[in-house]
Amino acid sequence: MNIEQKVLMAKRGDQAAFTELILEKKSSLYRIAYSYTRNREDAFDVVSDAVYKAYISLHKLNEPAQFYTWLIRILINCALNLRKANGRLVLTDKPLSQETDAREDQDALIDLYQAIDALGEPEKTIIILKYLEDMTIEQVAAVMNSPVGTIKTRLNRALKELRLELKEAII
Amino acid sequence: MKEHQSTGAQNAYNALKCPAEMDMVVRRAVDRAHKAKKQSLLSKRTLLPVAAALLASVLTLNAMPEFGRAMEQLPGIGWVVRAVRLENYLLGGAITDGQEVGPITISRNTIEITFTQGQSATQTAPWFKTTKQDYPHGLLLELQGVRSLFAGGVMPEITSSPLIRNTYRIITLDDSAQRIMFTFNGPVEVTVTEVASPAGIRIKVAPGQTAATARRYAVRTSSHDVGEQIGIKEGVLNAALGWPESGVRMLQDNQGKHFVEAGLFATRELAEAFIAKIRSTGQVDFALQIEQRGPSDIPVFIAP
Repeated sequence: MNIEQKVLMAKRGDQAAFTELILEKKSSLYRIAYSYTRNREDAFDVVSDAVYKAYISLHKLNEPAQFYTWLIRILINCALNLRKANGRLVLTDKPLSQETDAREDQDALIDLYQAIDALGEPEKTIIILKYLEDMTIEQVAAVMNSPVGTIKTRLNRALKELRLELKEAII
Repeated sequence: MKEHQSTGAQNAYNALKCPAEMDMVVRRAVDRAHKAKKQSLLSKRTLLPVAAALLASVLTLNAMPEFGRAMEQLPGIGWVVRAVRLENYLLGGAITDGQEVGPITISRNTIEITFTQGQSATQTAPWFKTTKQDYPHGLLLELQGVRSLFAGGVMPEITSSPLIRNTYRIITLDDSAQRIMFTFNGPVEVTVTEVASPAGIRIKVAPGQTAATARRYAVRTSSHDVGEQIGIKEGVLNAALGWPESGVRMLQDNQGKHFVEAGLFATRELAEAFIAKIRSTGQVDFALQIEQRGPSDIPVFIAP
């Protein structure tokens, strides 16, 4: 069964179909949320909030094929709202060894997040979606509801800033 | 950030473990939302009957004859599941299997499609998608869980409609899917109504606003007899361009042959660039042509 069919079933009140759609992307949803919160519990809260809002407003989704684009947009808004509510991000209070397995991954992740944190919005979101979630420019534009040209301009700006930030590090 | 440069960052990011608790977080959120939605519906239901009773007393006398006539025009005496004036596309029906498209009737401005299973009319329409088409104006009906068409797919003749030009079946290599294209003489407004018990789809067309007059450049294959060969070409183009966002479609030309169109462009240069892009995938080994077409023009025959 494809995404459109599952979304159609979910729109008709099929709770299991909706849950399945979310669980299929749970890793992506968690990683994106974590990129903003840098804290496991807060990332759970963001995902939970986004899933709740998506279920309640699913009837407003006109194009079932765009379900994940729409869901990620909701997720990012929830993450930004939480950040607004909490003020500046708090660095994780748990050792990263709980989050990744390999030592080099932990180091790379710390460098990466420090560099991304230095970016403002919407550049941060663009970098996360384009380079970490591996989306195309068009998909990023769809999530952010912005023209492709605008995304390209902001991406270039973000890359310049990132290069300065990371210098010869992981990127 | 160059490709090789991003690998380290991407690996680190992908190595971020998704905690086992995520399943529980998601399920709890869905449960919470489901309960909240149910609660909200219950509140509405307690208020709606009062409002509905008031409305009914005002509207019944005036509206009933009109409503009755409208219902009589639907296939069988099914009840309306949804009725939508089409802007782009509509999804409807339910996931079923083994249905057959029954007789299709076309009157002046209305197309009615019925469904059967065995010898009986079905109660719920199969999963369907209706999509408005341009260059030329038309409507594509895609059906899932439908294994055959009435009378082997012979479409009804159109003799009395000023708006509906023709209708034809489009081959699909999926034996549980069917596609039917309806072509219109000009811009139209389309209303799609899904009915149940018995199941049917009613497509009503009315003259539409004058659409854009600009000519477009279509990137397409040559014309073919209806058969597997053209179905394979469609599959190859879909794979090269990334289905389902590929925009690839199959159409009939002015000699009744079929071809696959990969895209429509405002200028010849853009169409040529698109062909180059397709070639660069290395997946398409057949010729692609450029055809200039107006919004109401029927595509022309291009010899293989």
